[in-house]
Amino acid sequence: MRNGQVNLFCKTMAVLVMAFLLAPLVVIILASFTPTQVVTFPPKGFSLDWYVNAFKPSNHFVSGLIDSLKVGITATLVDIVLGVTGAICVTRFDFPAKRALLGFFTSPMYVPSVTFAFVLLQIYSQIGGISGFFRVLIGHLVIIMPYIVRNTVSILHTFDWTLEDAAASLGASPIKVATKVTLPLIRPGIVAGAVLAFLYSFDEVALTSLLSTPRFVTLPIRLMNYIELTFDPTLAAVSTLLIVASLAIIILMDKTIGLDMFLK
Amino acid sequence: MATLELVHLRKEYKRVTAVKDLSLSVADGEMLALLGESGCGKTTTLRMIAGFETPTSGKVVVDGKELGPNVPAYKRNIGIFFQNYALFPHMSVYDNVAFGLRMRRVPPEETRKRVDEALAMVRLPDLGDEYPRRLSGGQQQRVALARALVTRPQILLLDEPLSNLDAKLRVEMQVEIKRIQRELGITTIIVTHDQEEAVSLAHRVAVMRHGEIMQLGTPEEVFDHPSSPFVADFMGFQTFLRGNCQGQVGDCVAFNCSGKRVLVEKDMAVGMEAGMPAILAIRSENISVRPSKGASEGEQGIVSGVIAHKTYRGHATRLEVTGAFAESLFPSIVGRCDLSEGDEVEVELPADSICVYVEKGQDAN
Repeated sequence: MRNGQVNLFCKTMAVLVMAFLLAPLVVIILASFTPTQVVTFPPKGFSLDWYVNAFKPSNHFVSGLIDSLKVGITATLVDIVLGVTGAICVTRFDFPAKRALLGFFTSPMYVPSVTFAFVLLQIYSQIGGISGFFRVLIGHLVIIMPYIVRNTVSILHTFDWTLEDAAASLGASPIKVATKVTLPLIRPGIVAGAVLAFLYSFDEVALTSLLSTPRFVTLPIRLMNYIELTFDPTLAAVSTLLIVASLAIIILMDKTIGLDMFLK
Repeated sequence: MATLELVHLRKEYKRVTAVKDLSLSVADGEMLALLGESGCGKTTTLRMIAGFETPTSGKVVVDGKELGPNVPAYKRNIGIFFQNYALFPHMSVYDNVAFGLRMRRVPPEETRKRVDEALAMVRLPDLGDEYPRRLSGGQQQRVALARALVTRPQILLLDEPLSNLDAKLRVEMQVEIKRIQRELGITTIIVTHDQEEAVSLAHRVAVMRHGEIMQLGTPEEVFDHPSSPFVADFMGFQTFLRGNCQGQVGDCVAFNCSGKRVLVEKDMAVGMEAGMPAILAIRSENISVRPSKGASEGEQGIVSGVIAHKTYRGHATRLEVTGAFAESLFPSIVGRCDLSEGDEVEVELPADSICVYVEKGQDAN
C-alpha cells in the first residue's frame, strides 16, 4: 500500500477470502442454537438444548476433552524440553551434520502421520500392555516436535550469542546464562511453537484414531464417532465452544507475545 | 588490580592458525593496545584471555596464577566490553549493570550503591530505568562500560570500543575511556584496527599481523619508528621508495633511489651498509612541497616532480607527485594549498624523518 490506497481488486479479494473463511463458522455458531432435531440454517427459534446435550456423560465429549488435554499438554511440555534443546544445539554450535539434524527434527512435518501410526502399531503389538494414554502420547511427541523446533530455531537465528559471552564474563554459570539470558529472550518463539504444537495435537485425527484404545479416546475421535451415528446440532454446539476457546487462546497470545511470532 | 602475562599463546583452528606463539606482559594499571587488521588474531587473543576460547598451547597468567581450561570464563574476574555492547535487551539499564553483582551474590544494598556509583562514573546517573533499545549508541556504550567495570575486574578487555560510533562521539568516548582507565588504574587490553585510537589511548601498542606481534612499543616508537614497512604502512606512512645504500656521507647515509640521491640521518639508518637494497618510508606530513623555481634541483634533499593528483580532505590536501622517483610521492599540505594538478614542484625529503628498512625480496616485511 505504497500510496496508502488499496485498489478495488485487492479489496474485493480480501472480502471474498474473509467470507470464504468465516461463512462456515457463522453457520455453525448460529445453527448450534436451533431447537430443531437437525442442523438448520437459518435457525428456527432459539434453544440451548444442544449445549446441555454436549455435556451429557453418555456422549463422552467431556471425557474426550480431558483425554485430549492430558495428551496435548504432556506432549507439548515434554517436546518443549526436547525441541528447545535440539534447536539450541543446531543453531549454537557449528558441526558438519547440523543441517541434516535440523531436517531430521522437522521431518515428521513432511511424512504422513498415518505412516508413523502404522510403525508405532507394529511396535506396540510386539511389546504389548501399553496404556492408551502412552500409545497416543508417543505418537504425538513425534508429530508435534517440528512446530517447537522450527519456531525456536527461527527466533534463535536472530539471537545475539555474544549476550551469552557477556553474561559468562559477568560471572554467570552456564545454567544462569540459560535461565537469565537465553531462555527469557527466546521465550516468545518457544511459546509460539508450543501453542501451535498443542493445537495440532488437539486437532489430530489420523494418527490418534489408529493408536487410541477404547478406554482412551480424544475429543476429535469422539466427534468423529458421534457424527457417524447421529447428525444433530450437538456437534455444532461443541464446535462453537471450541471456536470460543481458540479465540480466547489467540487473544491471550496477542496480548502476551504478539501474533507476529506465529507468522515467522 | 593485576598484571597480565601471555606466554607462547597459540590458537589453531581446523584450517587456520589464528594466533602463533604470542607472548607479552602487561604491567599493573597499564593499557595495552592490540592493533591490526581484521583476521590478524587480535580478537582471538582477547577471547583466549576472557576464557571463551581455549588456547591450543601456551598460558594466560593473571597476577602470577595461570588461567587454564579449568578456570572457565565465569570464574575469571575479567570485565569485557563487547564491540556491539551486548547489553541484555530484556533488562533495564540498572539490571544490566547489576547483573554481574547479582551473579556474585553481592548483598542488595551494596549492589544498589555500586550500580549507582558505576552509572555516575560513566555520567548516566538518571537512566537506570530505561531499556537499552531506547538509548543512543553513545549511552549504550557507557552502560556497557559501567557493566564491565562494576564488578571491579582484575583486567578490562575492550573489543573495538569505538568502531560503532560516529566521528564526533568517537573523540568524546576516547577521552572518556582514557579518563576512566587512568582513574581506576585498571589493567586494560584494547583491541582495535584504528591506529589513531591505539596511539591516543594506550601506554603501549602491539601491532599484529597473521597472528604474530610485528612490533611492540610506546605509541611514539610505533608511530615514528615503525619496525618494518608493514607497520609503517599500517601507521599511516604513504610514501615508500626503493633504493640502494651507497654508504655513509658525513652524518648521513646516502641512498640511490631511481638514480637520485636521498640522504637519511645516521640514527635512522642503523645497520645499513653500502650495496644493501632498502625501502625508505616517509610520512606524508613530513614531505614539504613548493612551486618549482627551476634552480634548486640537485640541492640536498630536494627533488622535482609534477603533481599528478590533488585530493582535498578538509583539514589537509593530499597530493601525488610523480616524476621524481619511480614510485609516487604522497605529500600532504595542512591549510591553504595553491598548487594544482600538472604544476611542477620541488619536494623536500627531510633527512631526519625517513625510516629505512632492508628490503627482503618480494615479501616486504
